[in-house]
Amino acid sequence: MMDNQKKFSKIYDKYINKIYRFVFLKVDSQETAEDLSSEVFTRVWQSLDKGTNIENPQAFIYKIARNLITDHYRKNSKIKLVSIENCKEIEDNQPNLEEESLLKSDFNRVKLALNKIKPEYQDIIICHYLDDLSIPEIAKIMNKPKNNIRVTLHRGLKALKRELS
Amino acid sequence: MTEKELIKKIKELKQIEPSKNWVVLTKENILSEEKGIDVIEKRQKSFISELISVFNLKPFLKPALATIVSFCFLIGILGFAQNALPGDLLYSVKKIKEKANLVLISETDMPNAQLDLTQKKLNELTKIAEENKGKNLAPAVQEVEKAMKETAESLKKVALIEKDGKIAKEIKEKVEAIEKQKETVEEILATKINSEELDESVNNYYKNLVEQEIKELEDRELNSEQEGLLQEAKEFFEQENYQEALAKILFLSY
Repeated sequence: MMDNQKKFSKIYDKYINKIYRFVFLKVDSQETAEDLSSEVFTRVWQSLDKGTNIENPQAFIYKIARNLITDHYRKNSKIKLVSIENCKEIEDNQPNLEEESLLKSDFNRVKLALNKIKPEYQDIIICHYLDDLSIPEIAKIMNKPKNNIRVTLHRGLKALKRELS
Repeated sequence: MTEKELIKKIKELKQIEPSKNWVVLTKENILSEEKGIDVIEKRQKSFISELISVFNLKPFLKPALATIVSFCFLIGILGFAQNALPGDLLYSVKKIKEKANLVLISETDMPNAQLDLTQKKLNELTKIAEENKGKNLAPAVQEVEKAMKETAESLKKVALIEKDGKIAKEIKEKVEAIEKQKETVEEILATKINSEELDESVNNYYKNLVEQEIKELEDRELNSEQEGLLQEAKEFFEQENYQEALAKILFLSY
């Protein structure tokens, strides 16, 4: 039991920020990102506790995260998800300078543009440029050939550029 | 925008981080909650697997398990049926049990047992009346009247078989208790319960019994006090007040 706890702590500390960011950029809501990230690590702990031998924790965690995000969108398919930035006037009538400045920033523009491109492009861009995963590592997570990942990454960047221009 | 510039902008998103408090709390929650669940799950699993393993190892025990389960189910149904009231789904089960209880009772003891049953039916009716359970009312009244009829029948039979002072005393006490309860229920319901047949049977039973007792006592040597009681019994008998006459006889003899 103690051994599993140590293993879990190590994995959790190493990946929690990355997984949170990965999920947050795809769901675009802090609460949902927290819930899903928490669920990802709960499943990791359950697997360790059952005695599952996790050979590649990184691939394992990202796979769980991707599946949970897919499930999340499937469950909420009838609910139209509107980004908080897009309903500013409904959400808060009081002008918030901080929010306004954030909206105008490049940071937010990239975030919004990322949300508009294909989920597959999003995954690869986030994994490669934000989580610093190599092409072979992403190929393993997505069960796809390396060349395919390279091509998809290239297409993803193009799509993102289009959204930003 | 060049690709390099785009990548630089993407990398700016690295600033996104969860709150440190959330990170710490989530980790603690996962470890503590899962530990709790783990213990309970393991306990449940071990109990179930032990139970299953016993019957897996010994296939001949499977019919035994089925019998035990059926028996427990039956006991459960009977247990629930005990609280059923006339008009309820399980009341027929309760009635079967009551009838089964009467099967082995001799004709001499039958009036007593039937009177107990009538008392039970009256208790059910009282409960229904007090709790104002409209749908159960009509079946409950029917049950009381039916029980009274059956008691009357058993009293007729016992009057022909033999006389027994002790039994007579018990019967008299029970009949009086039933009469009292009947009056209470009638007050609550503001309606009459048909007990004519029972009243007639009880009266006949008392009459036969008192008649025989008087004949016997006339042949016995009695002291002056007993003579007085016998005289009073005779007077009540002549007035056709058999209940009071029996009371005097019972006081004299038992």
